[in-house]
Amino acid sequence: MKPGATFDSSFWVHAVSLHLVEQLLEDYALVCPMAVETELGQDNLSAVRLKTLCAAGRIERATSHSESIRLYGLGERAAINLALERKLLLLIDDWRPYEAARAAGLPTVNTVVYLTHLCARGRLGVNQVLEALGALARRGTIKPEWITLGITLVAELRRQRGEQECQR
Amino acid sequence: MSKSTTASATITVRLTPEEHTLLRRLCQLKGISQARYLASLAAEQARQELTAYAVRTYQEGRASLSELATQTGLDVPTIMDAVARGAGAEPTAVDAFLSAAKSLAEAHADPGFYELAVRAVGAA
Repeated sequence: MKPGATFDSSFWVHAVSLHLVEQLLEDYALVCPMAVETELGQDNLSAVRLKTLCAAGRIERATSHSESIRLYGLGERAAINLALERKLLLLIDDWRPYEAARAAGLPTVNTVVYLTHLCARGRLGVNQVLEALGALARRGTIKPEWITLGITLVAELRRQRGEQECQR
Repeated sequence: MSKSTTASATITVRLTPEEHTLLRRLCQLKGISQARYLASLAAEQARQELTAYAVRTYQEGRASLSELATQTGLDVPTIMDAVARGAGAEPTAVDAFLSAAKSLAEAHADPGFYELAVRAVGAA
């Protein structure tokens, strides 16, 4: 049985733009807070992809019943509260609520960590992860220190395993 | 069966004679009503200013994307796309990316890693 995970809007936008959605669906039973779906809007690629997957039953829509965390925007708050209530992994890329979630004791993962995890498991090559990290750097929508950490981890993986083993 | 309705708001704008003359002439040339022109101009200007506010506030680290979506009513992908467009003129993150890759390539005696990073970021 796959572990459950929920996500905030920024993580979902990155996942769609970096083509990580299928890997996420393989790894986790995804639960989308209604407020995140609202925050993503209607007609853009990220919103359409989410609505399609929800309609197909591949992602569950949910709303938390309690509000342990009252800070931040509606989507982030909903994702944190849903993760707390249902003991879900929280996939989140906005660093301020990320830190708040960690402080609340939630297991949290950002896109950079997920990418390096995929590389470590041999599901993405070094080239692919570097391309994704480069795209994130160009976008400027994720904490640069996280990207630097990601490069460090990928370099270490490449050093340990050799170029041919990790690079596709 | 419910019938959905969209109510329009009405606001009054006072113009000086000179301002009104300018507006009237422009709208005659464009073939649109003055009210229609002012409404579209105001809406577009407000949208641009809300987007600029969201980008600036996000880049200064004063609010999260979700907070800004809540404050401005813009959707998160719109704000993120605007941040990304702005980031093109602000190469700090890309510089940091390449700098880190270069340091690691040197530390691991692995020049190929830096070359991969340069290609990845599209800076080659």
